[in-house]
Amino acid sequence: MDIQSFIQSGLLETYVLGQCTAEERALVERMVAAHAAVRTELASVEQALEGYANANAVAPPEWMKGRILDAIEDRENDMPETPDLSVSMPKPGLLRLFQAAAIALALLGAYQFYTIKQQGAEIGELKTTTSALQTQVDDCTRLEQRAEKLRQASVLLRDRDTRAVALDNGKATTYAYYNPVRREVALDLSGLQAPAPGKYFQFWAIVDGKPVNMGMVDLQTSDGWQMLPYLDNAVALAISQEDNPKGSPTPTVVVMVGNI
Amino acid sequence: MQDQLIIRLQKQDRAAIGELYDAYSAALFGVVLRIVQSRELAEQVLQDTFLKAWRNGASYDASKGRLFTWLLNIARNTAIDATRTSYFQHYRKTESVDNLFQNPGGESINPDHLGVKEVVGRLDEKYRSLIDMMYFKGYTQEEIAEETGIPLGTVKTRLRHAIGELRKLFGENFAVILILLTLIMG
Repeated sequence: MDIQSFIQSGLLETYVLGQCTAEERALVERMVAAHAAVRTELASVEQALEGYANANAVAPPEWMKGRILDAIEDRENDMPETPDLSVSMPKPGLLRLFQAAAIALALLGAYQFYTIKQQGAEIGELKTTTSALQTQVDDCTRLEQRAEKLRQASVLLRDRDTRAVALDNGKATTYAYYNPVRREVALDLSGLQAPAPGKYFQFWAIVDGKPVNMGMVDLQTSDGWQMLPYLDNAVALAISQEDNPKGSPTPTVVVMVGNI
Repeated sequence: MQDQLIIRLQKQDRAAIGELYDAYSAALFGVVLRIVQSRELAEQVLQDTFLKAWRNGASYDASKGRLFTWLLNIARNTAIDATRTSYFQHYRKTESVDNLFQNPGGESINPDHLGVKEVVGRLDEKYRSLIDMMYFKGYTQEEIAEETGIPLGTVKTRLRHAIGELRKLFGENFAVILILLTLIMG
């Protein structure tokens, strides 16, 4: 294929974006291996998209790096050993039967070549299976974490000292759970509709007739439940709608309220 | 330097992953966050991405592309897989993507890149949305054609133009543009 029309075909761009078919990928890799001009072009496309990703970069939380390196260390400790493939060749036997032995060896060699090839394929399959299993283990860990969170919520819900506080705005009701003995407050997010774009929910406790800030309602990261700070002597709980994502010192518009 | 890092990555050296993380995690996290649209899930995807990079380091072939492209493809595929789980379907929020980036914790878009953002802001909207759909949402060209009603041939031509524009922005002249912009905006 002519280099210039290959470069203009747009295949390099879709290759970098990971959207080629297997055949297209093989073609790109052949062209890259064969022509320096294609290599330069590929590097330039990659650099452009890398620059774009950098321009849209978001710093992950600081604890992420430690968590990842710890997870790798855990896996390092229980990595399966790669099976030993070395096969000892039989030594030629009696000189008298040299010819026969040679033929036998050739046959044996062919057989072993075939076996090793088979084993290679099996190892490839095993590696794929191991990788798939690992993904499932990762999924399980995630589900376990989620189950633990839900378990904590259910312990609170079953406690006889827990009071359900209906937060109502006339149209919809969501529940907060207030437990003065365990000193815990949990908010069920499932009954809460997302605020209008650019608006945020803030949670309040009413103590001595004054609203006290209990933090922002976090619809993004919580798993259907949000644990909130506990305050003694609260008589009511409320949710306000705010323009500032970090909240306000006093409620701007109270959208839901309920007596304890 | 890069060659040494690649050799260590191929030998499953844990410290090599630490260096990869320092160099690429923010760019990858930005992409993943836009695909999964949940910080919690994006953090999980980022962790899985580096675990996969560590496990499959031996499969990286420098002659087939840059390290970042390889990592990004792992990250994007992991993120797209994550959006297909029931967990994601259940917790997917309708909030606009921009809200994800206003993190109450204070950590946010790397200020080093603010100048870069200005430059990207100059990219024609029709090009930017096309790149964003493919890069940040994992759409194929066919899906974009279907979604937007733009003929597939036009999508393909525009994609090439769009990346051509990016190459102008992030190619050799990029440093000059940045310096000029910094001077102008003083």
